[in-house]
Amino acid sequence: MSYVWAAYGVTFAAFALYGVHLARERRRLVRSDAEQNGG
Amino acid sequence: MTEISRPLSPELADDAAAAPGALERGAARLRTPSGVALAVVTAVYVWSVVAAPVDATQGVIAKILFVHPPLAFGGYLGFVLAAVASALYLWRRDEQYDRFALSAAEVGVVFTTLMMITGPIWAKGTWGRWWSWDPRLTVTLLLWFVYLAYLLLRSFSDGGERTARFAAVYAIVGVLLIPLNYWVIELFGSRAMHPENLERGSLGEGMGLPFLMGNLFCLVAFVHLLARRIEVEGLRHRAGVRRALEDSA
Repeated sequence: MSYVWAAYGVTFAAFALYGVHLARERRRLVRSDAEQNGG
Repeated sequence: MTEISRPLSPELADDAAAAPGALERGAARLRTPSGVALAVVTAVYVWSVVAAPVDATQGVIAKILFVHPPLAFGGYLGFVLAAVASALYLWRRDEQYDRFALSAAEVGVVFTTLMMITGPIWAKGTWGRWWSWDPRLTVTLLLWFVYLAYLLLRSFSDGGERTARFAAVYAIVGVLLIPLNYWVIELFGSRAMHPENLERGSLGEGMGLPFLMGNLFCLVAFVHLLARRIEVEGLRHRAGVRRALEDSA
């Protein structure tokens, strides 16, 4: 397999992982905010 | 990134009760449409890359052209936005700009890291080795270190106004490496190993669409990830302010 497909794979995987990380962090903060406000 | 601990003030108390700022509201509105756009652009991008003709000289490895330069542009965009937001922060002293600068720098580092990974992948296939102390590669490595240091500074500092001002000046000075990185190839001429800057007519037949899609993909991905990052930074800021208020109560 050519190295170039590894480059694309790494790029897509990294974006996906970073996006998931941000989504999880956002959910954690929103939940924490709701608990703080007694929601 | 860092937890916020600042001396409490009436302004801070108002900040805690205030709604998200304009930048954060805009980021929240962008989240879904940019995510949908990203899904569509990704599908077209993948198709265009697979369908693109194979270069007669370099073979399929030449398709790195459709991902590596766009990642570089994304990194530069992040650092330029961080510098602009930093300048606005120094001028207006509105913390929204400081949070935007931090978010843009982090997304820029993500793109630059990927650029630093995809470049050596091409180099291994073409030059036979992963790295060379070529001028462009060396300045890019320096650029990456500069903004990694920016993120580390923000992580390990107390998050006060002094840190924000120092970080703002740092981000503005750091961005000067981008024009240097662009012109270093012109300066070194044929002594540079890295391919020359792209110009009109550089691309071979059939390469225009995948290259355009690569840039569009990276732009939409950048916007989407930046919007998410801005939202997170805003939420972290308000959580930190609330904690500071509770601790002082």
